[in-house]
Amino acid sequence: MDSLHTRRIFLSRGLTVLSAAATLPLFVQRTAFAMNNPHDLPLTQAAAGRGDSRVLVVIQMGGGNDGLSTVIPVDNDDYRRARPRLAITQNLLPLDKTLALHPAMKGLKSLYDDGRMGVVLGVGYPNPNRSHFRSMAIWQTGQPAINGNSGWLGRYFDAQCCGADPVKPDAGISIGPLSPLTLKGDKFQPISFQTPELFQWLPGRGKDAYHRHLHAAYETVNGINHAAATGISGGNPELDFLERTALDAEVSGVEVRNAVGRAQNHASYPPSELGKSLSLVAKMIAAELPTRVYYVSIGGFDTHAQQQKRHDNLMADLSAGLAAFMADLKAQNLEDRTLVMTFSEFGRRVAENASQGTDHGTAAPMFLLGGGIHGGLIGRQPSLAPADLQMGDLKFSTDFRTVYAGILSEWLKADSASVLGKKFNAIDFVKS
Amino acid sequence: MIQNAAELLEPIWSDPTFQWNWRMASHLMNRAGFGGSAAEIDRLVQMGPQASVNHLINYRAMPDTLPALEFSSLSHPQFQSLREHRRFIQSLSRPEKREYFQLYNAANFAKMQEMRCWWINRMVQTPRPLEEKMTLFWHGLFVSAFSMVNSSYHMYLQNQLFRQFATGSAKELTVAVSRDPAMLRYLNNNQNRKGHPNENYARELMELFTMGIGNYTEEDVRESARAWTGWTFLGDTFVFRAKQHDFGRKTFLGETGDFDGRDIVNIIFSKPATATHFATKLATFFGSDNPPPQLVQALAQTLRQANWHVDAVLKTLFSSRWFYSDQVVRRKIKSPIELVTGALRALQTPVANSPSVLAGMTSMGQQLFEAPNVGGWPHGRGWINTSTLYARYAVPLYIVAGRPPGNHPSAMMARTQFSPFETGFSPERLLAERNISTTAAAVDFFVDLLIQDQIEPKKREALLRCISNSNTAHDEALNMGTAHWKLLNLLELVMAMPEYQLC
Repeated sequence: MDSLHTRRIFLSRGLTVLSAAATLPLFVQRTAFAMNNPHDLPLTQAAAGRGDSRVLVVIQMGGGNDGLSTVIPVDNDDYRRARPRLAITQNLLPLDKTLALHPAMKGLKSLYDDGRMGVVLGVGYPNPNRSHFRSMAIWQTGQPAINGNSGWLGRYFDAQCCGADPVKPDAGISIGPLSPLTLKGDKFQPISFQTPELFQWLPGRGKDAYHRHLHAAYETVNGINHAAATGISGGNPELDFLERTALDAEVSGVEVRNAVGRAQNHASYPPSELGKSLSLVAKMIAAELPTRVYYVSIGGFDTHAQQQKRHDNLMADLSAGLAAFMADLKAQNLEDRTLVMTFSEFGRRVAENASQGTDHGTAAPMFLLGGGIHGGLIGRQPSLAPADLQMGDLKFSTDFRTVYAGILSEWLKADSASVLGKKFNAIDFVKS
Repeated sequence: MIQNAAELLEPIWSDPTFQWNWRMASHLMNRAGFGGSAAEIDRLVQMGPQASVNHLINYRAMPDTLPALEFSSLSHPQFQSLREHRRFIQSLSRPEKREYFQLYNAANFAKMQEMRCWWINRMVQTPRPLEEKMTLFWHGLFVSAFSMVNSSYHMYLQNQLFRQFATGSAKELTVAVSRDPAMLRYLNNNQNRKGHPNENYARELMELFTMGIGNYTEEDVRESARAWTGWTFLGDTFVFRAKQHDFGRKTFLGETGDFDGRDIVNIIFSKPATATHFATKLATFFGSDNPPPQLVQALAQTLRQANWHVDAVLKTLFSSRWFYSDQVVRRKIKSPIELVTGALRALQTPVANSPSVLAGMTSMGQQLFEAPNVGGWPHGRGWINTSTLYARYAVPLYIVAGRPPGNHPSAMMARTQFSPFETGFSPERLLAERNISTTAAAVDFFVDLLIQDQIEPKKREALLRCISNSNTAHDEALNMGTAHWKLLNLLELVMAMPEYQLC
């Protein structure tokens, strides 16, 4: 359906806020319906009562996290020989007899001991690519064989949006200036913002008459309010696209700022970017936004030189941020319906390099956190014995798409084969 | 709609119905450069289309009066050679070394920030806009990023290389880029040695720079990597290290011989896919996001016939019926750099050398010398999401005026991350130059200047109300007492229109 046609339908139904097209997130559409047309209330009511619905939070660790300094082999000679300067052997936080968490991850260790953290071991894919660009795209699309332009969660949204039922899961929200490929579908575009304060047209953000006046003019020139929305675009599809995004932004900006305003954090977060982002996500979940996927990106993991101190800090921040997030959710009774997944585009070379760093590698662990999962170790750690390595890198033991399949089919209750393009054996980590 | 390539590429002035006007002259300035001031566009309107295209393409007829960037603060005049410099560093104690590198890194980073503003200012001030536009084109194609290269001076040398070859030979530029220190470092060819090949450059050269994926095999990548062994740099210059070079026989794209890098470039440029690749990149960057394939093929042929000189393709493109058709005019979403430089040029304001400018660029998703990855910048709709859209709606005027968004003496504003800085911008002066003294004339002037197209009557009314003293849409005399702030609000609104995002 083209957007002009959609606009006319909405006009004929007397809406004063015009929802444009399929790229408009459904939670936004429902808000618009409810705010502006009492006849559309059933839609809103159908959407309410979603307090039990499940949420997925994806943490992207850009740069290639050193898996062997995250989940560390204990008393392993191959590891110590490969890492004469970088091997971590003191103050380890044991997961079992052979593996331990990085010493800075006390928060995660206690979640693990509580059974609320799963550690998937040796995750990768066949014919590993060592380019950041390409390997990140492979993880984001879930399609190693092709240069796809839709993300695995974007395709999940696409699959949910079609059919007769208008009330379907909602678009993803990404914290940050970029819109990750993971969440981009052929039809759906995710919502992105950096901070709630910046998620609005700044010149009109004051509450006094002067700014209200300016903001009304802003709505008019963007075709957002009723007065200007005659649907005349001159047939320029780029202009239609921009107006649609402006409408998405305006309505979801209000939603997000209201949500963040009415919710509170019940834990104290580290002052890092990750901590700030996760505290926002917790507020949005607590405020019952019907969004099903939140996305947080952090970077700095490309540790080719002088790795140790930088990586220690990254691990400490990751652990403190996630522990605060889980504590916050637990205090608000939200942890059973929230699942956190971490990933990085690759792990790093088993042997350290000449500059006390590590180069691009292959398989690495992923973390899963939540009250609704079976914790513990999942899969098996690849051997570090030189004879078992492939060009100096670990051979993967778990295909990342089996993790995705588990999330799609068990957590989000979707058809994973249609999203991933083929049937993968879903890893079963969700409590039934 | 015309489909035939010959007709699409026919010179527009052979069409008797074509009207060369403000809109078309602005379009040419937007695409071949970074937009223009009212006076510049007036001048092109008077010159006519053919003379305008020639004027832009033959830019070397005009002197480049803008200053080069000064690097003396980063150089080490007390050292006669790199070796001496290295010895000096080796002689330092550990804490001294740390202190030395801290100082150096801070100066290096500051120079990079200065260079970003320096380049933006060139785009805004240059009388040779096509030169800078092509420099930007090459920068987005042959990607290197400061965060990996780590030398502001090498980024500068690469930038000057792109400027030197701006409309010249794509093939000779490819050879020059293969010897460029920033590129050698960025794609690790400085670590590509006989017996320990690093395939990074060999792969991206074909995949992203010259041919496109699907036109070569993994074996071609490996063989090409062998040919590039020993191509590295010392200090600021290229060196070929024969001891690290693999002189053995290689089979590359069906040919066999003792190839080195130069041979690899020759073979790549003998393949039809390469001409198609460059023609597609040019037609997309200067024309529309989806150029018709038959038009691309015709441009590819032009490029080969011109011995890879890009100016021949640009001249054909900027003269063509297609370029001035509804498929192209105002159908492109501006990149953040086009958004900002266009505003500065149109509103005749030099860019401030301020970190706020660069923070603004980051929030829109484009920092010069820091493409997100080797694949380069997004384009078209890839620039737009709900976060970048709000940034694009507020940052350009912030960079022009140096005023926090929505600032007004009469309004209480909460503190924002936008700190004020001086730019000397005066919208009143622009109006005075054109003898404009009423609200309607001011609205129409700025809409023509910045949007260059009709806007819906309701939108025009909203703009009129915003600068009126009586909150009505009537034309009235501009009140010079309040005009400055009213005009800033007007510009804030015009730049927050979806129409302003297009060129």
